[in-house]
Amino acid sequence: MMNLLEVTALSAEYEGKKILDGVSMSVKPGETVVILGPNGAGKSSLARAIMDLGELRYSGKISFDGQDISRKSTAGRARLGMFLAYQNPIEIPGLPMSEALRSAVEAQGRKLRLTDFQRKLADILDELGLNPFAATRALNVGFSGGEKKKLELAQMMMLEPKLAVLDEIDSGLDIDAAAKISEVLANYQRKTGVSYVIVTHNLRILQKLQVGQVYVLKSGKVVAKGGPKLLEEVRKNGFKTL
Amino acid sequence: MASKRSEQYRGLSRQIVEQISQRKKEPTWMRELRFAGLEQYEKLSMPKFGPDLSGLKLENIASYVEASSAMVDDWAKVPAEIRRSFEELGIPEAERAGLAGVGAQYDSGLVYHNIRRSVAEQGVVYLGLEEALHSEYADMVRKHFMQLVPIDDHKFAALHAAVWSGGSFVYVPPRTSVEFPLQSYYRFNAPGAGQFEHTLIIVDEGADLHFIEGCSAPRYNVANLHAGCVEVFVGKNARMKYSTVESWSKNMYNLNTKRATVAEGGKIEWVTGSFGSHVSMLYPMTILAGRGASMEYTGVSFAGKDQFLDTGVKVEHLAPDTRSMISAKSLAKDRGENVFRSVVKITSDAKRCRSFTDCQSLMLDSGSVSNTIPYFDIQSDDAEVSHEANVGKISRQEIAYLMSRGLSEDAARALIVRGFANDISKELPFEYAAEMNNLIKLEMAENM
Repeated sequence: MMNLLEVTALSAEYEGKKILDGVSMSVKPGETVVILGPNGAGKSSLARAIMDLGELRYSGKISFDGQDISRKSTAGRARLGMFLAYQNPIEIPGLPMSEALRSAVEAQGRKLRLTDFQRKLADILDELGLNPFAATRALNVGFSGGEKKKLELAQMMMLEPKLAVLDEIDSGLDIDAAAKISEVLANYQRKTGVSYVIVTHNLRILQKLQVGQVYVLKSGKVVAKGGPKLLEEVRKNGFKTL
Repeated sequence: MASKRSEQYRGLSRQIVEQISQRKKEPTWMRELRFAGLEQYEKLSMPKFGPDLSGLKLENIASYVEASSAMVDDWAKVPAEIRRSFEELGIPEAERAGLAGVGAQYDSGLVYHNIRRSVAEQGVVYLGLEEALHSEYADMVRKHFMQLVPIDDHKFAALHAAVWSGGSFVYVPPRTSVEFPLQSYYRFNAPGAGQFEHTLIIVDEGADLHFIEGCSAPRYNVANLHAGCVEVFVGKNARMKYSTVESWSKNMYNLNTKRATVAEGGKIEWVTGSFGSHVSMLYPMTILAGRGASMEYTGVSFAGKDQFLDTGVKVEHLAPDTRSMISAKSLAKDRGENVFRSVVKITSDAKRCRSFTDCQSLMLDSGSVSNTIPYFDIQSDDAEVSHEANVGKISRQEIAYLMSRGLSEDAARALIVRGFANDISKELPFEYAAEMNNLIKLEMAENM
């Protein structure tokens, strides 16, 4: 099966320091790939590099769905079906999430009647256990850390990407909420066949998901690669032995 | 009905003022007031602050443009070309969409004025001001006309007094709540013309009214002048909301004067969206005359290329327990300039007053200018007064975040700007909020 995402020898520097150093990884359609690593290993940098938020210059190559997207803008990548759930979602004063999403759905070229859009969004918020008015409030403004993470997922579910990169989607969530989100992610994957790249410290978020490949990053490099067994190893011994 | 060529009076002289008054068959007191206005106009000097007004050649401004049709109350009778020009703006669809009444002014004259029957039956009066001068409300007009804005208030108030034409008169009887907003729409069509409409609103004790004013004009190469005047009298425990969406063309000098007085327990809300004009000088003023009276101002102004929008608010707290709340947002791009002036006065007798001002500016590029100029004159020793101002730029992070959802950079910027102005859209009826969002989209698309 052809890989959905193929990252080859991806590197980036920031203020003279290598933060990504020849990272290669791949994601198959419908697969859940997990990125682990100690603080400062470059996990978030990798997540953001996959989406290219225009922060850094990258070398190496990224292919998505069979095409080289190394030169594609953030928006171009999103329109191909890529999504990034931010570790720290950005607040946009005055702009309701529903308005932003409506424009984003239009930018994808999808035709969705306003009433259908609203119904779908309401269902998504309900599934995530969010207040139905959350979509009419200013985007990420005045929400708790956990609510912001759920809002990221609401956006994902509305935009229906082929690949969702989830950068510490579980931070700020209590145990019950993390379990619930794990279930939502699993259901959503079953329904849509979405691929996940999950950056996490907390393996609880993975409990309902079937994990494929696992990558461990340290100092911007892939230091270990394996299957679910690697998860067990990290759970027992941490990163020291890797 | 074919429209005949409209008649214009260019420049300003005693003879022109006389002619305007004669054509309108005005009572003597009004003619005398016009002459007094002319006299003051000649005496008073141009404003000594704010934007450069040298592009405004007053001798070339047509002070009066006769509308090419008489005023009617049946939309179908409005001449086709005038109707078209309003229908492009969504009038009178807006009327059908739930307004208590609509007035439309084309250049100097009202072309349409109508009030919903149920509202008229409540005793609400909505007339063209000139019509009101010849009606049973003539004394009421005389008692209030240019009382809040004295003719020597400033040069353009004097000019207004001399050549005013058109505008609306509204009277809401005591304890009457007008369920739908009343709306006046002003459109300029003659090049190099001045528009000097006068709006006089009296909201009697315990009554409630929302009045909406919309303004627009096509662009010509010569300067146009708008020096209208709005006077609002809010009675005891009455409420008034005055909303304006202004999209004058970019050759307009918008030197408008708006003033309200609020009696005990009454409240006025000003909601203003300023998008158009080459130069604006507009500072709605409120006199909080009775105990517990209050004022809220919510405004947004958007200055683009070749625009200098000098706007602001004045409030005078003359009575105890009065409150004022000012929330202003300004946007500047393509070297546009924005100035927001606030003047808060609290007299020594006005105890326990509170006044809050919050000004936020968003600059969309580095060549643009945003300034906030607050002025306080607080004589009372127990007033609670605060002022906050901040100037910001759209952050790269906000743009990248929306782009990561698939929006182009321009679309992301436009959405962020809309969000910034959302406080104002929320205050407006739906079709006006939609119009405002459209204006933001247009402004954002221009020269980008």
